[in-house]
Amino acid sequence: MLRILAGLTEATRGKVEVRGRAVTGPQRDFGVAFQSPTLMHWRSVIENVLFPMEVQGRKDAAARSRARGLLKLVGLEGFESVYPKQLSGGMQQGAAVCRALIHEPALLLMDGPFGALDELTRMEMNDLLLEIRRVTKATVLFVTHSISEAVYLSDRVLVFSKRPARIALELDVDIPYPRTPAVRYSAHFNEIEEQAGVALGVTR
Amino acid sequence: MSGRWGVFVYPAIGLALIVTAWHLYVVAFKVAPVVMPSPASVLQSIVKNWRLLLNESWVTFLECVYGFALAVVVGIVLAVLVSSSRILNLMFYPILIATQSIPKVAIAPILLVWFGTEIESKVAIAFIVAFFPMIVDTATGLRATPQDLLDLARSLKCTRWQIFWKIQVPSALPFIFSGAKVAVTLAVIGAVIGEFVGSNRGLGNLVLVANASVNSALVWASLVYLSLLGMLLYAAVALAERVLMPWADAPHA
Repeated sequence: MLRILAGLTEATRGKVEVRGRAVTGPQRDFGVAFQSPTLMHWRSVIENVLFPMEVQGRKDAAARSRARGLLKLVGLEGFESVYPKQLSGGMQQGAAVCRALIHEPALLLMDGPFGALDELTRMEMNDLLLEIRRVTKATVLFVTHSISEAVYLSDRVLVFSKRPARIALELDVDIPYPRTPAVRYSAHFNEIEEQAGVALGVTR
Repeated sequence: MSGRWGVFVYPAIGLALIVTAWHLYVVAFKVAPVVMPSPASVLQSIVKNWRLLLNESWVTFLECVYGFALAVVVGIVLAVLVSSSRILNLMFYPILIATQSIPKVAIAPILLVWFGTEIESKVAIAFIVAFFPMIVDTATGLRATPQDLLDLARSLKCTRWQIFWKIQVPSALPFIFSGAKVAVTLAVIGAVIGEFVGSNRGLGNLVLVANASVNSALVWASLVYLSLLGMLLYAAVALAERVLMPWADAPHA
């Protein structure tokens, strides 16, 4: 579904509309973060982040300083000129998120970008994403296989059933911001998790 | 002895051992110099004929460099064409592979007829031998662009040209260089084949001339120069690789 939203795969049925505008192909005001970091190993971290700006011919001083700011936000200050392979998996994914945000997209599409990370790094990246969202005010559409990640990050959760995938449940998450890791252990959080689990058929 | 100096010292010890064994063998079994000259006489020949050897090396060097450079340019251009057009690929790639079953030595006399006995025919043979790994490796590299990078490019609405220059070419570079390393050593073989078939210059020719005059020390001296020439050319390609792909040397996380 995320590939359809990103305009990478054509929909067999139905249509995508963003603010009344039909989406039939890739959009320049969308940012996409893939499952894997998808960094170019021949470019330094900052050159990777600046790639969308370069493609659009807008790699100027303003873009550079924005890139530095984003990298600082994900804790990659001082790593601007290293190559991706010199970073850990979480740091690479952080750089990929910066790249998805560099052109100040109105909509950030994230295809389970933290799925391959270890639990600890993943939780750190979750807090980072909340922070990024607070600062950039971008709308984020996030795909994940983790119920707790979905609840922790979202205002609204769409639970997809097993194949054939249908929307099994629509959940509003009313946990107030700022959210901190402690909230993961609250009764209310667990309650929402359980609702999602029931809809998925993993909890009875 | 480890680390930086080991890579120089150990091969030097290995070489010294082999040369010593060669010397002892020649002395102990009283091998005729025509059959196998002693290391000392080869060294002597290298010193005595240094000007001749350098002059002939220069000729062979130029043949190799021109042939290799042509192979790189033509190989890369054709690889771009066959990897960007399905029709071109289907039309010509199988034929290209099929032509590789022709032994290059067998083509050499034809090239001699076409290009004469001067440097052109040697360049042509060096080119023909070196061209194949260039086009095959480059085409493979251009087609091996990771799909996720192509998805990224599409999501950013990169132009065809941007995808080619900013994504396909850099990700094909390791393939291009591995092709170039094979090509440059083959170019030396091609140049020598050319000199064998018809020439009055170059190290390959010197081997024939010295052999005919039973000067086996000079034959071996020429071989030493040929191998030095091959190593020099290979080192030049390896150096270009390090300069053009600085990321390959960066240490891992």
